[in-house]
Amino acid sequence: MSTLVDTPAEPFVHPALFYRGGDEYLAGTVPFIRSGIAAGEPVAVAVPGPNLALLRAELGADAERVRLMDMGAAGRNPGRIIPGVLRAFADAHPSRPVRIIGEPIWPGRTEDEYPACVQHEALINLAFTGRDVTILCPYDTGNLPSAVLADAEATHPLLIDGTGERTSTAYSPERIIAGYNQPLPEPTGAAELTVDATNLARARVLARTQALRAGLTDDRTADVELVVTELVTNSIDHGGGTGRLRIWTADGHFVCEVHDQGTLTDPLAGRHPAAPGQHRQRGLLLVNHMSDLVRLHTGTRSTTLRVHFRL
Amino acid sequence: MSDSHISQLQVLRLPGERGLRVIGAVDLSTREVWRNALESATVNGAPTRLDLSELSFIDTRGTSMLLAAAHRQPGTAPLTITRPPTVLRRVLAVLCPDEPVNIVIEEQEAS
Repeated sequence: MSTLVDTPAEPFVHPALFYRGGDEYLAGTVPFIRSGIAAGEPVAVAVPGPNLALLRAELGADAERVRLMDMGAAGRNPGRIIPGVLRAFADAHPSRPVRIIGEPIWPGRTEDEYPACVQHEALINLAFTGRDVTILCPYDTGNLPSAVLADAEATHPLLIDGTGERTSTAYSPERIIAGYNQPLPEPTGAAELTVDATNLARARVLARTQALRAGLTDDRTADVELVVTELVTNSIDHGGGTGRLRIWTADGHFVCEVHDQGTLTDPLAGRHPAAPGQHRQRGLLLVNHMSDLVRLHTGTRSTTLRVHFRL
Repeated sequence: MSDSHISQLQVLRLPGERGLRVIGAVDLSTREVWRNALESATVNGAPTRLDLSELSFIDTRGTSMLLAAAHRQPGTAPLTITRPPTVLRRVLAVLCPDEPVNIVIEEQEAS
């Protein structure tokens, strides 16, 4: 005997748009924007600067009806895109269908950034399940490696190219989240301190001294002190009572890392926007907002969070 | 003699007005002192001023507690904070992209 169950369709739509060159870019994005405007839907575009300029020129007066953001600035840290760009816009229009073009991966992304970028693309699916939102993600097939395009087929349930639309048979965001959860390469020349509840102030002094020595401004040094405090506080509260703080500079970045014996079980930790009236679990959100890149490795017995500040 | 490795927080009453002068750092080690200070400052729902010019650091949880205390105040009696440190301003900018509810920020020491 079979039972018919009326399952509502998932309202969240997350297609990858594979394009080659400016004409295909505009052909894949402008109708999406204009049909959203015509339907009275809020539309946002967060793409790298050159593509933003291309779209602005093509849209003409319609550009004023779209929230335009340079992803190179707003989304430099991939961990900030869900709370600071996508959810910030979608949550501002809670009762209406929302359209967003989000391009977090472009050819200039570094090897350090890419794992965080592709995990971000996978996590979008978890963050927006059940929401009446469409997020279209362009991929530059002429300039991105084939492995990146293959990953896009795993992070997007729907694929669009010049030939039309198709369902992705490789869709598996969990595989991407787990597959890129790898141990981070060991640094050289790091300053190190084991931190617990008795020496938080000393951790901040170390962070401040190293940040100023590396040439960070006073404001960025204040951000470093906050980030280090949030990371080691997490370790003290949830990671076995202590955290190993390491600080170094490499490849034009000031880097802080905290390693502890905890496990990060919420894959969206640090990506939930600050809800009014909610006063806990905001530390990692602040870390994502204050920094230029956050890399994570978490296992059953340990977690490492590595935070980069551009010098 | 104090140990500079341990965060310290001192809270004093402001002379001649309702409010507190806060000296030191708010983090995990001093969270309870901060919680008690906020509770005592807002217990009657009257207008209250916190002089934060000698606050050297405050973490996200401490800032959230400040927001919660301000939220508990009646709308006619906001929490006034004087000369908050940079880190507090930067956390508020993330947690409250619009103006923080029921908090007035004073840039100068009240005369």
